[in-house]
Formats: sequence, C-alpha cells, structure tokens
Amino acid sequence: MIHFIELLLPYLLLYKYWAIFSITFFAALILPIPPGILLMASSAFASQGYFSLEWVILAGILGNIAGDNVGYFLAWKYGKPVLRKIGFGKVLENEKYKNIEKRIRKSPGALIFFSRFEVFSNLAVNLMSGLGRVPYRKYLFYEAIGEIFQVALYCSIGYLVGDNWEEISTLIGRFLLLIILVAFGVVVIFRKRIWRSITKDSNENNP
Amino acid sequence: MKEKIRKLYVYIERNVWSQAVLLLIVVLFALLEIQAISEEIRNLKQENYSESSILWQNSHTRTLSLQPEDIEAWMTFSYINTVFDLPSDYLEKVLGVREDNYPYISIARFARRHHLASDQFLFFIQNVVADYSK
Repeated sequence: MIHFIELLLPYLLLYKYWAIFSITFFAALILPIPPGILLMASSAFASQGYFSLEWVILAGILGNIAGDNVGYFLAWKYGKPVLRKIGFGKVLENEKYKNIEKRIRKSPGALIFFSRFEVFSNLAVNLMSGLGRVPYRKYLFYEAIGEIFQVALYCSIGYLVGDNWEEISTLIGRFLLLIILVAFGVVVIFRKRIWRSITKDSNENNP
Repeated sequence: MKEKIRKLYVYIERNVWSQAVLLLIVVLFALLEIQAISEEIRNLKQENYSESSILWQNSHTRTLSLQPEDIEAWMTFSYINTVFDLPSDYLEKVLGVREDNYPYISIARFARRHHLASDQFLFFIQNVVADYSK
C-alpha cells in the first residue's frame, strides 16, 4: 500500500490542499484509497513547515464530507434502479435485506460514526444509508461528527510523529487489519444472535 | 457460480467443523498480524524512536531529524528546499539544468524528463543536500 501512496505523494506536495480535498473526496465517494495515511503524511509535512495544519484539517474534513454526501445522494437516487439493472433485484426484494435496511434506518448513529475510520466500511455504509433512506439530517449529523473525529485523529498522529509517519501508518494499518479479523471472528461466532437481534427489532417495528 | 457460493454457504452454515476451520484461519491470521505488529514496534525501538521521543519532539527537532539520506524520489524540490532550509535556487544552480517547473517537480519526474538514471540522480541530490548541511 505504501508504494501506491508514494505515487500520490508528489501530487500532494504539488497541489497541496486541493490534492487533499480531491483525494479525500474520491476516497469517500468511490475509490478505496486510505485517506488516513495521506492525512497523516500531510500533517507530518505540516510539522516540517511545508503545509499549514489548519488548512490540512479543513481540506480533509470538507473533502470527506462532500464525498460522503455525493455518495449518499447517488445511492438514494440511483442506487436501487442501478442494482436492479445489474441483476441484484432479488437481493433488494429479499426479506433479510429489508430487515437490515430497517435496522439501519432505525439506529444508524454508531454505524455511521465508526465506519468513518475505515475506507471500505465508509463506502459500504454510505451506500447502505442511501439505499436504506436514512433521514438526511440524521445521516449528515453522524457522518460529519465521524469525519471530524477521523480527520482530527489522523492529523494529530501525523503531526506528532513527524518524519516517522510512514512507520506509524504501517503500524496503524496492521492494527486495523487485526481489528477487522477480530470483528469477523466475532460475527462468525455470534452470527445467529446478531441475526436474531436484527430481525427481532424490525419485527417489533412492524407487527 | 452463484449456486456454488450458495451451496458453500449452506455447507458452512450446517457443518460445525467447517465453522471451526474458518475460525481457526481467522485466529491464525490474527496471530500473524500480532506478530507483525510486535516486529514493527521492535524495529521502531531499534531505530531509537522511543515512544516519548516520537510523540513529543517539537517541530524544530522533527525538521532536523530528516536526514539527506532520507530524501526519496517522490519528494519535490520545493519540499526539499523547505525541509532542509535551502535557498530556493540552490539545487537549480547545482543541477545546471533549466526546468520550467522547478521547484514544483518531483525528483523522479525530473530524472525521467532529463533521461537520468533515477537512483543515481537521487543519490546525487542526497549528496548535494548533505554538502550544504555541512
């Protein structure tokens, strides 16, 4: 991954805040680029005097929020018709899928907030929120708070570790992978209980 | 294909042993990750970056901690000038090559444009910056 990031770094150094905005925007919208590493790098450059930390944070937050919102609206407006066209119509009509949708619509807060910290979950939750018609104000509230926390976290780490940002970002990547593995293990073990709680909640809403 | 995936899913769902194997694989990967993380931390410590020194250096010492040998091909001349506090035309004069985009061009792109061997050019830049720092 670090080699892929090295391809983006010259553009980051050349186009500065526009590059941060564009990268975070497309990472939040559709491309699975880890914006956290680039935010850490930008903040490390800020600690060396090449960037201004305030502008890095602002560009990061605005790029992420804009990308998330465009993704949410595209999923809201075109998500279901496109999925039906490419052969996922049956999935959309499936009772299990409808239950998941209802569950997300009912209490999306924690899901939207925590998904901001990992690029794949971010993309998936934006799509699910749009498809599941999560109320926009609710979505924007949790999404914006999540992005502010996420950007602030990566930027403070980058600013504090300075030149060592590459080593630290590798370490964070490994920790994230470990968390994903543990979460997967938990889902495998407790999948029946999780499924029961999802269906129970949606059945309570629709007697 | 869809049918095969569905059959595999049903098989895993019904067969306790296959679930155990799946979990075992997950646990093994998790252990490998833990081992890799501990190795990364050990490497960081070996490079004398104790936790406190990484986290609480002030910005001045951080700037100085970047050495000329840390210069990489993705860095732009503008960035190198700022970080190593070089006069803006120092590298341009040493290189002796007119480049319209200087200093807003990366070392790698500069080397490609002027048909230079990337590694040798990088080494040259590192030496030039080291000379100035002395």
